[in-house]
Amino acid sequence: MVRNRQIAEELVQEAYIKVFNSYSSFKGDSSEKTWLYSIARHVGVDWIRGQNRKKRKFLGIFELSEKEYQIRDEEPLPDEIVVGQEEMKEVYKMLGKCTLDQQQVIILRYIESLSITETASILGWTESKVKTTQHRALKALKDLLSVEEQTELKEVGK
Amino acid sequence: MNRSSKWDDKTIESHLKRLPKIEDKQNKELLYEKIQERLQEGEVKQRKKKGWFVPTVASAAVLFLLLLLIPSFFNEQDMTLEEPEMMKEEAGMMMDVESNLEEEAPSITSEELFKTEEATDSSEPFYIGALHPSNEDSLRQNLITFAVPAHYPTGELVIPVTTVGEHSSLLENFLAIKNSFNGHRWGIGSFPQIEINSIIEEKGGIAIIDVPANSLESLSSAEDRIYSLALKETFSAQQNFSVIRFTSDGEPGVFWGQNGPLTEIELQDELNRGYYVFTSDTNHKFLVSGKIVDAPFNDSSSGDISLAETLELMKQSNLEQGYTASIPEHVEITNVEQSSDTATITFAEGTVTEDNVDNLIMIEAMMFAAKDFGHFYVQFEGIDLDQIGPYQVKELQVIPNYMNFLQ
Repeated sequence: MVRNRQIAEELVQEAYIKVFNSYSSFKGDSSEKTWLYSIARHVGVDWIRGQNRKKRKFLGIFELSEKEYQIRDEEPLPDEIVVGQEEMKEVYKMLGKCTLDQQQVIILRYIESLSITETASILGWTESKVKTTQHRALKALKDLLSVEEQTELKEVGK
Repeated sequence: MNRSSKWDDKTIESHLKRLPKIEDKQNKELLYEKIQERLQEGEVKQRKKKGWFVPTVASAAVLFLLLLLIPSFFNEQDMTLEEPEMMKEEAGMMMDVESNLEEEAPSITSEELFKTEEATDSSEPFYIGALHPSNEDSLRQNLITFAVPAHYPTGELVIPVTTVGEHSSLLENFLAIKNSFNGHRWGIGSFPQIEINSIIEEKGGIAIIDVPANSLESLSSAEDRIYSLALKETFSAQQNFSVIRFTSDGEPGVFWGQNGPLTEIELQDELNRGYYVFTSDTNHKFLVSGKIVDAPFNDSSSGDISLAETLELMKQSNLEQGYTASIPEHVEITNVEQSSDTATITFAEGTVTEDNVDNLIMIEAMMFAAKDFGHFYVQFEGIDLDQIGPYQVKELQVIPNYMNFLQ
């Protein structure tokens, strides 16, 4: 989701190197899964901070898989697929306009389906900060999507 | 057709859940080779780093010396108070633009909100409110919740209170606070005089408390109950503990007053019995768990009761047990809906019309009651106000984690 597969792959390699170098310091306070996520997240955030100086956009650490935008619903109607894909594209696009913290929470909670506790552990936040940021992220997405929709309607009306 | 209603929370959440999982599709062998290459590159870079290590240290030393010298020039100048403050604020704003965008200005706590009342009229009840969720993050390293005894005419109970300690470790904070906290100002007691050699946190949520041998042997029956309740409430509040295990000078178990040998106290308690109000001699009001005050149906034989039933029970007072209702009797709750994360509580129209202490106590007690049912948010419906205490009641409320926050 760096929106660049090559960079994403480099970041994955960097994350593995960090895991390799710091495995001896892993105390087992959290599960290995959250520890790995936490390292990957740090690698991603460091990269973004570096890129921010160059005014580049970031959405996460990895590239979305080939199934990007593919709907998993069971046998939707053809027109539903088209509309659904368009809507998901919009959601994905607007997710990129949310703040870094909001994107991280959305990715971990919805795309990776992690619990609030796991998300808090990975991000090093309190559970309440996860909840608040998640709530704000959804609100931000809703606002962005509504604005985009209004703009599209105006363009159609012209 | 107006499409603006298309984007509601459920639709967005549903789309987000359907976005494909993030996967790394690199070939394992290639990945291994690339990592090897990068590890070798890293070693080369580290060697190169040494070339500029000395000049960097020298520059840092020069900067450090400048930092030491420059303030002394400023100190000799007669500066106004406002100017440096403004400069400090501006610098702060520039340094923390991102976090400022993300974090709203911290809301005032309920204690701050009603402080004026305390100052103007000491007989006015003063509610020790919860720490607003927006303020939790900045304090969380130092927050400590512990339970202290409090007296009422016919008995004694324990109240969980939260304060800010000086240490960043939870157990260090607890050990320091247990000796130094004095609740006299709020009409409550101090932490029971339990001599503790050490507390160790073990995997699986076990707190191992080591006490001097025979130090708890002569507890009276009243002390016996209050001491165990205080420990139980204190460690239950930390969330990461599920058992307290005792040792006496390193040997398993402790001799606990008239109860005799005791090896551990289980902290997991499935009963959800709501929250009530305890008023101290100094007229300070605290929230207290229904499990502590023998609220109605407070035994496991009564089984589980629903959130709606719990809220109805919270309208009852029992002064003999030391508590009063947290929800005024006239308040009519017309509906309670529970989804996974959120409880929606609907009031009859015209029931909640004032931003006052009683209503603040009510909404905080309701939120904590909902939290015991596994909810993270509460949405209030039917309130004719925008704000009660520090809460914007028309918005979805994140349930606070720390009740009875003493500043």
